[in-house]
This record gives sequence, C-alpha cells and structure tokens, in this order.
Amino acid sequence: MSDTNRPAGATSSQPAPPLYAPIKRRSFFLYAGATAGATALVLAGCDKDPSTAPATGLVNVGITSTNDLGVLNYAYALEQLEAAFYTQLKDGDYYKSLTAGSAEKQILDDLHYHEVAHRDFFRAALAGNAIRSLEPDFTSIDFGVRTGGTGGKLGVLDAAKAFEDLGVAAYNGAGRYIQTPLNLLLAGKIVSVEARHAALIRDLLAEATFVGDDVVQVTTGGPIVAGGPVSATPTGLERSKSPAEVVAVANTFLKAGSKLDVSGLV
Amino acid sequence: MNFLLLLDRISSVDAPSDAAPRRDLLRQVGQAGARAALATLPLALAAPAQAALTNNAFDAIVLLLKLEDLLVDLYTKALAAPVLTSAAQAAVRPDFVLLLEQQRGHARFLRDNFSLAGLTPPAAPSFDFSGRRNNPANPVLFPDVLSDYAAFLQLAQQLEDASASIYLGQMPFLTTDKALFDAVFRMQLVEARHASHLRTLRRTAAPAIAVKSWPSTADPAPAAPVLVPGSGNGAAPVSIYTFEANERQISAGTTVVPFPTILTGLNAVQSRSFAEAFDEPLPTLQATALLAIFG
Repeated sequence: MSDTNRPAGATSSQPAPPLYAPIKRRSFFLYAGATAGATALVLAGCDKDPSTAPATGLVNVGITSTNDLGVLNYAYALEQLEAAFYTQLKDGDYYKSLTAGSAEKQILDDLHYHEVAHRDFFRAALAGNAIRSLEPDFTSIDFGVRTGGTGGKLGVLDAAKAFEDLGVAAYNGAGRYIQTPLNLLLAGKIVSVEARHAALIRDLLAEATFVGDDVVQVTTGGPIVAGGPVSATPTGLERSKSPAEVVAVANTFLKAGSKLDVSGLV
Repeated sequence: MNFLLLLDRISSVDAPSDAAPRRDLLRQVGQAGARAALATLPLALAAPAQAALTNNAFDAIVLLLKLEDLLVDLYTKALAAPVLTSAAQAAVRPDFVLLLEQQRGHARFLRDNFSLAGLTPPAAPSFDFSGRRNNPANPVLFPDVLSDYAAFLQLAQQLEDASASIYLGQMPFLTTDKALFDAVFRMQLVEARHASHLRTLRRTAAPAIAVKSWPSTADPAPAAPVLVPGSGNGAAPVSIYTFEANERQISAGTTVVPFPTILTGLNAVQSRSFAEAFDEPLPTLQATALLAIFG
C-alpha cells in the first residue's frame, strides 16, 4: 500500500527540475548503465516529428471542450510512460537475471508487449494530433532489484505496481471527459487489461493483494460517485484519480520539458 | 442520483414497433406516472425485455445486476461446499471471501439505484452451476464445480472473464449518464482484477494450468467451456474466448490500427499480444444467453 504512494512521496518533496536535473541524470546512468542511454535514444527516435518544444515548460495534452483529443493524448502520455518503463526494465539487471522461460520473465515480456501496443495504438489513432514523444526520468527506480532499492528507490516490481495502479485510476478518472462512445469503449478495453496487470503485479508482490483498500473500496464505504449517494458499507468499486492527481505522480517520472499539463481536462 | 433522469430518458426513447410492453407502458403513462407504474410492475417482467435484446441503460443495469447476483451466488455456494471448506483450500478461502464481499458490494450498489428511483429491484433468480438449468433431466455441463477445486476455478475464471466483458458490452448504453457510467466503469475494473486473480490461482494451483492473467490465444481451452451463441444468425455456439481473440482495433470510423506494420523492429511484439492487449466486449445477445445457462 505504501509502495503506491512512494513515487509521489519520494520525489515530490524535491524542488523543480532544472537545479537537480544534472545530478539526477548522472545517477540515472550510474544505475542503469550505458543501455539506458540507448533506450533514451530509442524513445527519442520514436518521434518521427522531431520535437521543437523548449527544454523546459510543460507538454499540454489539450482540452476536452470540443473533442476527445485532449483525453486521448492524456492516455497516450501515460501509455508512453508505461511502455518506456518496461522497455528500460528489459535492459536492467533484474530482468536479465531472470531464468529464460521463468514465469516472471514471461509476465514482464507480456506486459512490455501490451504497453507498447497501447502506446502505438494511441500514436496511430491520434496521428498528427499526437503530443510529442516524452522523455522519462526513472532515476527513482533501481532496475537492478525486484523490490526495495537502496536509498528509497523503487524496485522494478514496486514501480510496475505504481505505474499499473496509476494507469487504472487515471483511465477511471478520465472516463467522464470522453465524449464519443467508441473512445469510451476503447478506453474500457485498454484499462480492463491494465487492471489485470495491476492485479497480477500485486499478487506477485504479495499473494492475494490483487485488490487493496488503496485501489478499491474494500473495507470502507464512501461516495459511490461524486455528488451521489454515500454508501456506509464497502462498495467494491475501484478508486479513481483526477488528471491533476495523476500527473502529480506521473510528472515525477518525466524529465523537464516532458512534464504534463492537464489543465485543459475539465 | 441520475437514475431518475435515466428512467425519464427511457420513457422518451424511440422504440421499434415491437417494443417491449414495459416500454410502451412507460410512453403511455408519461414520466411522472411511469415510476409508480414500474414500481408496481413485478420486475420479473423484465425478462421478456431482455429476451428482446433492448439495448438501453435500464436494461443494461438489469443485466448487470443479474450478473452480479450470479457471482454472489457462485461464491456463496462454493464457500459453503466441499470445494472451499476442505482443508486443502484453507489457504485460498480468504480470497473467495474477499471476492464475495466485493460482488455483494456491486449487487447492493445496483439494487440501491433501483430503490433510489422508487423501484423494487429484481430478486436474484435461483442459479444452478451444473448447467442443468434447475432440471435434473438436463445434462451436466459443468461437473463437480462445488466439489472439485480445479473444476470450480475453471468455471469461476470463465465467469469473471465474461463479467469483465459483459460490463464492457453494456458501457455503450450507459454513456448518456456520466455518473452511472463512472460507477459501472469502476465495477468493471474490479471484475478485471478478479479475473486476473483467478487466472493466477489456476496458474499456481496443483495441477497448474498454464493460463495467462488475461485471455490469450496461448491459454489452454477450458475442458468445460461456457458456450454462447456465435455471431450471425444460426451460427454454432462458441466459447466466450472467441470474442477475445479479436486482433483488429478500430480507432475511428472504419480505420483499423495496423499493428502488424507499426509494431515492428524495436517495437516488435508477439502477434498474440495484439489481441491480449485489449479486453473485448461480450454483446448483449451472448451475455443474456450466458446468464440464462445458470438461472
């Protein structure tokens, strides 16, 4: 449970990027090695339309008032982050230490495939309306260990859990902004698989934690919907996060210049 | 909550000429009287409307409630039966207590919406998990579900997978009510988490079944499959996983995202991932037929 909150807690207390960026980048290479540099290049190379965005400033996903482009770009941004994470994970020492054919290696491979498919789905769907390729900042993750990295860093499964649960809560909180039924269904089809991922990673970390009170109203009641009736008993409903709550966490995993602005999602 | 608005909306829906009697009634008596009329109408009468495959928000909620009642009943019966009272399953028993509690929460939530709208919610039917449809003369489709753990997990996995898909199938009919949609979305996600966990349980049980945590063409087919009508008139019954094998995703209009050409090189994935990465809706026809197998 505390793991979910750790990414936010671990980095949100730090000041804004410019001052810290060089230090972060250095430790980034220290931990992930030369392959991380290659990954960063790959990510940058994914962008066919070279970015002209300034190094600082935010990437605005767009607005919701006229069409679904803003919310689709929001989903695209989160899928970029997840795909980049699993891509880098596969270059990391923990993944490489797994026995070929082991259950955990297969799972991490599949999660990587799915997230890449999601990312490229949105990239294709958005075409010329897509935001730029984002540059991740995974300095708070130790890709060499399964859980509990030194110095408060996340292990790979800790981070996977954080990303998957965040993704589910994000789609969940963004459903209300989607206007066309096709896009609503597409979001549902994707997030349903994200929920399966989240449950799987949680079960890998601790058996039978596929739902926890941090992600589902398991032991507590509460408002069933915003402004709706309040249930005194557990509802068994997934918890959701607003775009602002989501980017507060997501931006801690994005480099300066790639951090997201979701103020248009209203 | 907005369920009242929803009822109002149903009453003004343009129905086909062979509309369900209930909806004709709604149109005749008008909005104010409709709620009272509906309240006195036994909701067992909702059954013919389901059979007529009406796709609207009200019928979607009726369908989802029956689904939740089915899962509540499955776990209630299993927890009282040898399959989960046996010492061999002591370690996993709490998982099913948790699953039951959440399905109960969902069923309660859906019932509360009926009550808030001044309606008497439909009662849970009498479910039969053998597949004999409460008639001992019928053949057993799902043997030993309440006595054999592997048989139980096999059915429970299919029903939780189907549950996630049935929710997805009903979402398009709930889009006009953002609050209701939001709640249903949040239940769908919990169903997906449940399905994932049941698949993990099968993978880690003895003997282990090599299923993934999402429907995959790599999964071994269930020995006792839950069959639903195939697509198209007169099509042979198919497994619920037939729908999950879809590899084509439409991004807008008729545009299909060309995964085989964009997921290449450094982004190459195994081709089964095109289908795995997206859960698929189970259409109303198939969802209704599936629920009718059990009650």
